[in-house]
Amino acid sequence: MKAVVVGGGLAGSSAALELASRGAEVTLVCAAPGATALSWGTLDVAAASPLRRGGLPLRDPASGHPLAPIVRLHAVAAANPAHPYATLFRERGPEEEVKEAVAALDAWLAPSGLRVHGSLAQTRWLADVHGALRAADLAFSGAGEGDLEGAEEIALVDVPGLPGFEVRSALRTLAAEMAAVGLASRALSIVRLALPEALRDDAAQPARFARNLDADAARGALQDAVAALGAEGRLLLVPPVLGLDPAAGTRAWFEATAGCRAAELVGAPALSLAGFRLDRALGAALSRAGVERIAGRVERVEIEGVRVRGVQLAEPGPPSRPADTAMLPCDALVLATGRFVGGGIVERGGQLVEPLLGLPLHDLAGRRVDSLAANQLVRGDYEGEQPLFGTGVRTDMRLRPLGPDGLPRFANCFAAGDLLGSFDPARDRTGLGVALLSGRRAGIEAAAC
Amino acid sequence: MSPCIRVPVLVVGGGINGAGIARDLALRGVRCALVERREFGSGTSWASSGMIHGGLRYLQKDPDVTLHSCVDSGAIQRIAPHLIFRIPFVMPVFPEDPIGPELVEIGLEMYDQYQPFKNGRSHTRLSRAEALRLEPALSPRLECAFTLDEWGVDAARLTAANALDAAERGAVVLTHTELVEWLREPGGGRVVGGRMRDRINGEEFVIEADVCMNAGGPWVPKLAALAGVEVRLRPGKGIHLVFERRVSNLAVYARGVDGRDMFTFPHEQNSMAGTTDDDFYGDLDRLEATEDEVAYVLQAMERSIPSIRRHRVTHTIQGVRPTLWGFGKNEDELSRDYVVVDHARDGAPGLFTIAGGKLAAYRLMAEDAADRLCTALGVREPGRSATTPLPGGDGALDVLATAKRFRTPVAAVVRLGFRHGTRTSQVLADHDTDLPMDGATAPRVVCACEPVLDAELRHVVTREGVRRLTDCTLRVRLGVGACQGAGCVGNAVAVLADALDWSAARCVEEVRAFVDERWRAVAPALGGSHLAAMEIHRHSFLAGRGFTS
Repeated sequence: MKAVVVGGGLAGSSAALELASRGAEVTLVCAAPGATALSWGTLDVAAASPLRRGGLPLRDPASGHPLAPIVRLHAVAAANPAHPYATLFRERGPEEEVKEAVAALDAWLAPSGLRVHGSLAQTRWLADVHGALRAADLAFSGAGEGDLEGAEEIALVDVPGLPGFEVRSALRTLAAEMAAVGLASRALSIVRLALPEALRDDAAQPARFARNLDADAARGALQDAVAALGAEGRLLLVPPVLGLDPAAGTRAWFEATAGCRAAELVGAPALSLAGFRLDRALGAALSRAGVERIAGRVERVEIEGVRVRGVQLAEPGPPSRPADTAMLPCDALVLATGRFVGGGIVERGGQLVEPLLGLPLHDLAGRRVDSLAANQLVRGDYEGEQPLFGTGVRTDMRLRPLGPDGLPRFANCFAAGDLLGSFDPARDRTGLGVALLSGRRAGIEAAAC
Repeated sequence: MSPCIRVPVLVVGGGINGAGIARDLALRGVRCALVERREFGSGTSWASSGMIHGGLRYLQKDPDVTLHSCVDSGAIQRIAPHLIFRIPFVMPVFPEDPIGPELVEIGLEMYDQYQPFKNGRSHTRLSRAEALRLEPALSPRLECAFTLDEWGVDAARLTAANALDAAERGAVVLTHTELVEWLREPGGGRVVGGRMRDRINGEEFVIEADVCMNAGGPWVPKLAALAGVEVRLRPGKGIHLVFERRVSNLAVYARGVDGRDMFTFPHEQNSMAGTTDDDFYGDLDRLEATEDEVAYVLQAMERSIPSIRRHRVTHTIQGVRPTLWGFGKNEDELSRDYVVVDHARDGAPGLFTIAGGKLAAYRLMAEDAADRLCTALGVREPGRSATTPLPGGDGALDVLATAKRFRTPVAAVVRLGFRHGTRTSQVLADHDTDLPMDGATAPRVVCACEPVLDAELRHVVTREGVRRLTDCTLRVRLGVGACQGAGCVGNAVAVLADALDWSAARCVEEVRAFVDERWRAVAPALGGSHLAAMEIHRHSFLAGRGFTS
């Protein structure tokens, strides 16, 4: 069978990889890196922020004990029956579903040197570049090795000239937040990486600096400076600039050279190379699986009755695919086009639309919103529920988008990731979790149709 | 007994009027206290169009306003050359316009008489082809077009520069400080100062003064009422849309559906469009643009620039004009003139009020008000504010040499120079000197939109008295670009925390206040390609660095 996946983030890639593993001939069309490439190093299936409003409770209100991520996962699915998790976990419980998905993801990424750390049984305490604590569940190599629990001594590594990392403030915040959640802070300190002259100006450009660290020349020049940072029992927390190529193993090199544990801080929008590495590792996994990837934009979807017949590319694809074959026939279509970042939902002529199929859109409360303007779906309280940021398509149990009549619009079209509405990933911190779980499910369903 | 400050003059309200008066007095050697409830210029001054123009619009009914504005614009250009930029306007004339090219040209010929006062060029008449070549964004439906010359200014910096100069010349200058009550002589007589409250730490104190000036802008009636005095304004709300970048080479005139004049104009790194003028009866402290106002402005602009809706509106700016009271007129027809009132006639001797006026004539108004205060104090020193440069305005900045010396990007130095003029080197020299360095580290870019350097943040905190993260929006234009702070706020608050020794909890509080303020400015006009930016924004503040509950 032939399948087309639109969108190359974690949702689209997961769908394509599941399809390929089931023998489908898969083409993935991706316009540009999207939200996945902007992610910060954690997977967030059901993360919590211990000191934050909104989101999931971190502790059992009765006993005060930290809740395991799996309990939070049950809670988020139970609290909002329209949440994609509620759909995904209806047949099988989250335990099995998540365990299987994480194992699959780990297997896809491992050959590129990226591993998935953690489990749903235990909260992992990670720190971000601002020193804020994250009660994470799963995290990728880089930040994933930075569990604060059990670290005898923690040292933040200052990289002179690197923008986006204010080390003294991060230290102050980390100390306060660790104390607030009862994480015994043994010794917290700042150590400074002495940069050789040749690398000093590059520090102003994090991506360039990270790429340098992937190569032997810079590693040689930094050898002594990194070795000087190590101490027995110390956990070194480094800004997320340890390499651009996950396969180069830059974090492992740093750790081996320092002679003690070393991990990255979770990133932030101004300083985030973890998403870049994830994007790259996913791309490599797709290539290994034989998925054809086309950098381009889908202009139109060919429809015949209740079936999708193929997609028309806006521009001719690569030279291997001449202009007259810019039409891609398919037996199944997976839409993983994202929300606003990915372009899965756009505002056109003052109305929100799903641009490829004109699918009905619903907001967080289930209200039909595709004739409304974005600024009619916002409220004053930034941190509260914002209907706009829970907007997306609705699907049946098999993730087929629903038409205006509430029935699946097409027999062979599936949706995954942020395009799915009824959840606000920023607020409920289900981030890439929905992308992974719904992407895989959409791929499995598409392969079976 | 609360602590007490004793000065000859107390000025309440740190907008352009209050700051201008404080500076004018300081230049005459009269010490004063200037108190502002929030940040300098955060009310009406900053929400203006940021132009020191004559107001072609007022020429017909208020020629004095045009004259004063043009003359004072010339003075402001002399004392603050770093804060100003030329804005060439193009005014398209469409076939259906009620006023044809000939009448427009007569008006512009009259306006040309005023241009020399503000170093402006005379108008030119452009054919359709010439106009479209000069400004390709213009609607091809135009019949012909005219150019005219105006000047823009960073109004927030202009206000801060006045306050800063006053402080450096001995004035007591306090932000985030509000008037709790006026002090009266026993028996409800003379106003002799005020009881103040610091809104950040809650401390109360007294400022005693011989005379007091109410320079509250739209809050003037409220402050006057605290002394039992009535001042009537007819406040008019105005909004501007701010675009992510320049949408046109030139400023472009447009006409609202109701015939009002509006324009899209280059402003700093962006373009702005506006403004509206509607009677305002709401809460001055929670001002927001509405969907209707946004739609009204876009509709007007679309007629002159058909592609306007394709550009990204990042946020709105809204303010309320302290327009003088008038009955039976449309908002637009109300006088833009100003008054200085001595409330001795109202039974509150010692208290004065300044109300009304235009940004472009602020210096003249401040001088007039200071004259009145000096008369009351028996001071004979003449005003010197028209000839004494504002801080940073005393020369030209060598951008390239400065960039090289401090290993700073030229683009950043250009913008720094725009805000700090000749003080730019001092800003850069203030950079992080207390860390042991393995060789000097260059200043780092904190906000890439503007750009803002960590050195500048440190400077405004240590040398300009910035007290809150939200102050930085006006003081250095932090977080007003495409990402609305998603990329910079985490680091900016860290720089401030370092300098002001803020706790982690205080940082979260500061970030939350900043984000709330940005959201209120973004939400009414949110749409189009800005949706993606705000989705990232939401992730960074809620899923990422969040807020204490």
